[in-house]
Amino acid sequence: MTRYLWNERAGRYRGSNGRFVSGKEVRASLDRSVEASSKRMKELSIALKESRINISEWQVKMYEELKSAHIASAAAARGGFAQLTQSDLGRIGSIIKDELKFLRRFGLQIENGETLLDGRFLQRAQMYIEASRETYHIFLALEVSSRGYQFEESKLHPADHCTTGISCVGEAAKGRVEIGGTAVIGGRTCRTKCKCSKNYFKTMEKSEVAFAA
Amino acid sequence: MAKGKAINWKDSDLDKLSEVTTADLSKAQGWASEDLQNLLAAEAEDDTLPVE
Repeated sequence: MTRYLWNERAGRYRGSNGRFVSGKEVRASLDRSVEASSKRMKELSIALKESRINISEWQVKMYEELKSAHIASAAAARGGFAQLTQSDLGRIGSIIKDELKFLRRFGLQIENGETLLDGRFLQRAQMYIEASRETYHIFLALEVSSRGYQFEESKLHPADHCTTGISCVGEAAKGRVEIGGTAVIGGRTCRTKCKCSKNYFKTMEKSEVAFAA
Repeated sequence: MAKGKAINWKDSDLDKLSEVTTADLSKAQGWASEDLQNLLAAEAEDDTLPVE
C-alpha cells in the first residue's frame, strides 16, 4: 500500500516520495472507482431485468453502492477520511438522503410499470453512481474556500462539451467569478458525464497562479 | 416486468439510512479502487514541512 499524507496548507496529498499529487490525478483515481461502480450497477440492473433478483434486493444494493460512492467522493476532496469533520459527515448524509428519495421513487416506478426495464432504465441506474462526481466538486469547493480561495474559473478539457442550456462552454466563458458563480460540475446539461474542472484563485489578479483542482 | 415489491422507505428510515458511521467509512474504503484507497487513508501531514 502506498502511503500518502494530506498537507493542509497546500491542500494537496503528498506521496512517500515527497511529491504532491495533482488534482487531475486525484480525479482520475475517483473516475476509475466510479466507472467500476457504474459497471456493477449495470450488472445489478441487468440481474433485475432478468428476474435473477427482486426490486427490493436491487434497491438495497443500489443504496450500498451510492452511499459508499458519495462518502468516498467527499473524502477524496477533503484530504481523506481522517480529515472529514462532523459537519462534512452531516452534509454527506444530507446528499445521500436526497439520493435515497430518488431511489425510493425509482423502485416504486419499476414496481408499478411506469419505468420500463429498457436501455434508459440501465442508463438511469448508472447515473445514480455518476452523481457522486458532483459530490466531489461540492466538497472541493468547500475545501478551497476554507483555505482562502474566493474565485473560480471553469476549465474545458479535450472532450465533447455541451453547448446548450447551462453548458460547459457557457460556464467557461464566464471567466473568473466568485466561487459558486459557475454551475457545479455534474449539474450542467451534460450532467454527470462532464469532464470539465475548475481553477481556484484568491484574488482577481490575472497574474495569480491558479490552484488547479 | 421486475419481480417483487419495491421498498417504500419511510422518511424516518431515510434519516437512519443516510447517517454516516465509522462502519460506512470502512465500506467506502472497500468501494474505492486501490489507488483511491491509498489517498483516502491519508493522515494529516506535519505542517512544518515545506510546501512546494
